[in-house]
Amino acid sequence: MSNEIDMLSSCYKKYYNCFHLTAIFLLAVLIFWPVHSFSLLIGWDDQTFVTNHYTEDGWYSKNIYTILTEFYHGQYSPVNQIYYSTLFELFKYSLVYYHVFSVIIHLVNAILVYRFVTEITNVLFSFTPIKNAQVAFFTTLFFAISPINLEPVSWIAASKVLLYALFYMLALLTYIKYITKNRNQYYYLTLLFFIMSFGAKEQAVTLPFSMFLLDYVYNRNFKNNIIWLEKAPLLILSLLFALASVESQQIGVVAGSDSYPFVAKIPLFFYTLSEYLTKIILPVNLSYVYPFPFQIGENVPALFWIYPLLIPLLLYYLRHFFLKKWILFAGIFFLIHIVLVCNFFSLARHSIIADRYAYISTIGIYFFIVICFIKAKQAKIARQYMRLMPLLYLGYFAIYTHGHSYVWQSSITLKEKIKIIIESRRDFQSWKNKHIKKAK
Amino acid sequence: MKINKETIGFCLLLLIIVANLVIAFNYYYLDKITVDDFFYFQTNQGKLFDPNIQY
Repeated sequence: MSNEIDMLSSCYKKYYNCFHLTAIFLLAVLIFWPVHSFSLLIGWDDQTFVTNHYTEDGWYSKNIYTILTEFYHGQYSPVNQIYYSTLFELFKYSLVYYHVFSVIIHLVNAILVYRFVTEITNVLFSFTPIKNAQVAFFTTLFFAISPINLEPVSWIAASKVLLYALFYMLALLTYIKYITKNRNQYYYLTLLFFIMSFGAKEQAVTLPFSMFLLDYVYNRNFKNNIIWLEKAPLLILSLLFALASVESQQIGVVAGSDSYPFVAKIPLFFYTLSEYLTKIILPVNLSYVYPFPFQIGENVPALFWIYPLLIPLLLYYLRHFFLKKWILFAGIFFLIHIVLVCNFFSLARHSIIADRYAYISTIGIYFFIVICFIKAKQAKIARQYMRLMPLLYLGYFAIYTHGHSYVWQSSITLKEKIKIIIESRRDFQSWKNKHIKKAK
Repeated sequence: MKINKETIGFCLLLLIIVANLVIAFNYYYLDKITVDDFFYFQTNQGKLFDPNIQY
C-alpha cells in the first residue's frame, strides 16, 4: 500500500514538473521571441569578444591551446570563447543561432534552478509535494522572466554569464547529490563543473562558500573534519582563480586605472548592494550602463552616507528575523553571489552595477519572495490579494522584460535613451555650439 | 500601537528601496555623464573606457 502511494506521488510529481517546465518554457520563449532578430552590439563588446580571430580560427588545435593559455582584453574566459568558436564552425556569423543558443542556455539554467529549488524546499520545509513544486515553479518563473536577467540573454557578449551559471548550478546540484548519496563521483563532478564555470566567468570563485551554505542547509556537522577537507581543493582553486582574474585585469582593460579610496568604497559598497536588491525586486528604468554617482577624487555626496548607516541598522533590527533558516539561506545565497561585484573588492570599472552580475543571486531573492507569498496565504493574511499579487507581479515582469528587450536590438537602440537625456540637457546646446565654432 | 524592532527594520528596508527607486526614476546615473563623456562613450574611447583599446 505504501509503495503504491509512493508510486502515485512520484507520478503526480513528474506530471507537475512537466507541466510547470512547459509553462515556463512557453512564456519565456514568447517574452524573448524578439531576441532572435537582434544584431551585433558594435561598440559594446560584441566586436571584441564575439567577432575575433579566436572565433574565426575555430576548432584548430593551436587555436584551442591559445584560447586556454592566454588572457584576452583583461579577461580569461576560455569556455565562452570555445563556445563562440563552435558556433562559428557550425553557423559562421549567422547571428540568429547565437541568440537562439543564448535563450536555450537560459532555459536550461531555468530547469537547473527548478531542480535546485525543489531540493532546497524539500529540506527546509515540510510542505506537501504540490506546494514544494509550486515554490520551485514560481521561483523559476521569476528567474526566467525577470527584467534584470534580460541582459545576458539578449546580448551575445554576455553569454559568459549564462555559461558560468549553467556549470555553477550543475556543480551545486552534484554537490547536493554528493551530500545525500555520499558517492565520490558526484564530488569529482562538482570539481569539474567548478573548473568549467570559472572557465566561463571569474564570479565562479564563490562556489566553495555556496557549498558551505548547502552544508548548513543539510545540517552537516561543521565539527567534522571531512567538511573542511573536501572544500580544501576548491578553496585552493578559488584562490588561484582569483589571482588569475586579478592578473588578467591588471594586464588588460583596467590597466592604469585608479581606484576609489577605502573611505569612498564603504558607501559605494552598501549603495551598490541596495541597488542590486532594488533592481531584482522592482526593476525600473534598467540601463545598459550605470555610471558611478561620483568620480575618483570627488567628495562622496551626503546621500550616499545614508546607506552604510541604514543597512547595518536594519540588519540589527531584523536580526531575529534572519535567524530563520530559510531566510538566512535566501539572504546568504544572494550575498555570496553579489558581494564580489559590489565595488569593494573589485577594481573600479566604468559602471557601478551591471544587470548581468545579479543573474545567480536573483534565485535567493525570488525564493524568499515566493515563500513570503505562500506563508502569507497560509496565514490567511489578505488571502484574496495573495492570489492576485503574484499574478500582477509576474505580469509586470513579463511585460517589462518583453518591452525592454527591444532596447537590446542594436547599438543605436541601446544608446537611444541616454542620447535623448543628454540632448535634452541645457549644457548640451552650449557644448554643441562650442564644437561647431571649433570646427569652423 | 506597539511598534516592534522588526517593523522598524522593515521600514528602513522600505526607505532604502524607495530612495533607490527615486534615483532610478530620475535617471540619476545618466545625469552624471558629462556631454564630453557621452560622446566618448558613443565611440567607446576616452575617459570611461581604457584609451589603449582601439575598437
